[in-house]
Amino acid sequence: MRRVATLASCLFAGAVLLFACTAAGDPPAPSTAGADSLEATGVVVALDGGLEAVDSFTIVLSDGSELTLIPEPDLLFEGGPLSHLRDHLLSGTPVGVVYSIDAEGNAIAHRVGDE
Amino acid sequence: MAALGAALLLVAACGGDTTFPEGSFAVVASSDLGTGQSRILVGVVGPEGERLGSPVERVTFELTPIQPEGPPQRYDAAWMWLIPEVVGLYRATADFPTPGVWTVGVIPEPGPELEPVPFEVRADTFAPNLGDPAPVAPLQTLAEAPLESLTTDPDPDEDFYRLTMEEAFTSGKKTVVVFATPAFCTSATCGPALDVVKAVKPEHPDVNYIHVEVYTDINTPDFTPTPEHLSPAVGPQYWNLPSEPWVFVVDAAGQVTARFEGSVTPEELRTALS
Repeated sequence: MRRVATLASCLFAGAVLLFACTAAGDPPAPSTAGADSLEATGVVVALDGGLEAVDSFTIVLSDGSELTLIPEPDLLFEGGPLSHLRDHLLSGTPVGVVYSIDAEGNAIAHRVGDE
Repeated sequence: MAALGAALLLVAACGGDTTFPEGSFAVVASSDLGTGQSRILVGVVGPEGERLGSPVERVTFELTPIQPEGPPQRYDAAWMWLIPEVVGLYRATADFPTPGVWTVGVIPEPGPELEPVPFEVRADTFAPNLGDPAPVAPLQTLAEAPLESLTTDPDPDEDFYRLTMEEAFTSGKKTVVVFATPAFCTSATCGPALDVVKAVKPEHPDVNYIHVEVYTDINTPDFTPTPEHLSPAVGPQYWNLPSEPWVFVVDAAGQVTARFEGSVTPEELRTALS
């Protein structure tokens, strides 16, 4: 009986442990790019936003395709304001981005900088 | 016959049928166009994302209101370098009689027109438009603060930090107001805006000059250029800028007489001050 009780206790403890691990839900999304991150380089051709916030921006890649990205919250441009993308729109100097695709198929930018 | 053949060969070698390669397209670089006279900046992008254009590749802008519909207008575009001899844009000062959605078609000489691209003309611009009173935003000057707290210009001209807007706009003189953040903007466009004004300044010693840093508290530890650090001067209560840099010319009566988004050439500024 003692062995059964001990075994039952272990199984119960294991079940509790397993429940505790899974009940916390999915792990929080990384604030920076994770293993599924992608990289691209392109020229800024459109920008939606201003000094206070940039809602999205579009770059043209070397193969001529366009990529529209939504910046992750509080994203900076190499430590500077993200609105600096407008200077790149003006000058045509390329930018490099690290991004991932979210569940809705949006490209979320995690890093942006001079290329 | 030989001369004719040589001439034909020369023509074939020199230009062919088109200025820009197939797949090139236009990009409107202006973000705050309003009714009346506005300067529109347009870049030409090649099929692989490269910037095209030069002073010798002449283009015409065909500007057409599509919502509401209206007749097209054509303007010869001028070239402006952003990075000298490297990259630039085409610009034209056009008259926009109606607000709404317009398109710009870039017509190269020679070559087919690029696909027209849409842009917005606002009845009320974000930033002050021509003829608007210049907003009198509160500003610190050298009278209250050290120079290093007023600017990130590595080579500042103290004259840009002596006057408040109130003092400048009531002085009876013209004023050039530059909104720029040199430290956070080392690319070709925003740094040079202030440098262009500084270069033209000696030609107009009878003009006031003000440089407004876009961000405040720039010398505090761990400063980051986030929206909460934006200067009130660029916010909706005063100049309401959608971007930076900007250069404005204010006349002796305190009205805006010129506005340049993104970049300004010395020639444009000289014309605005003449």
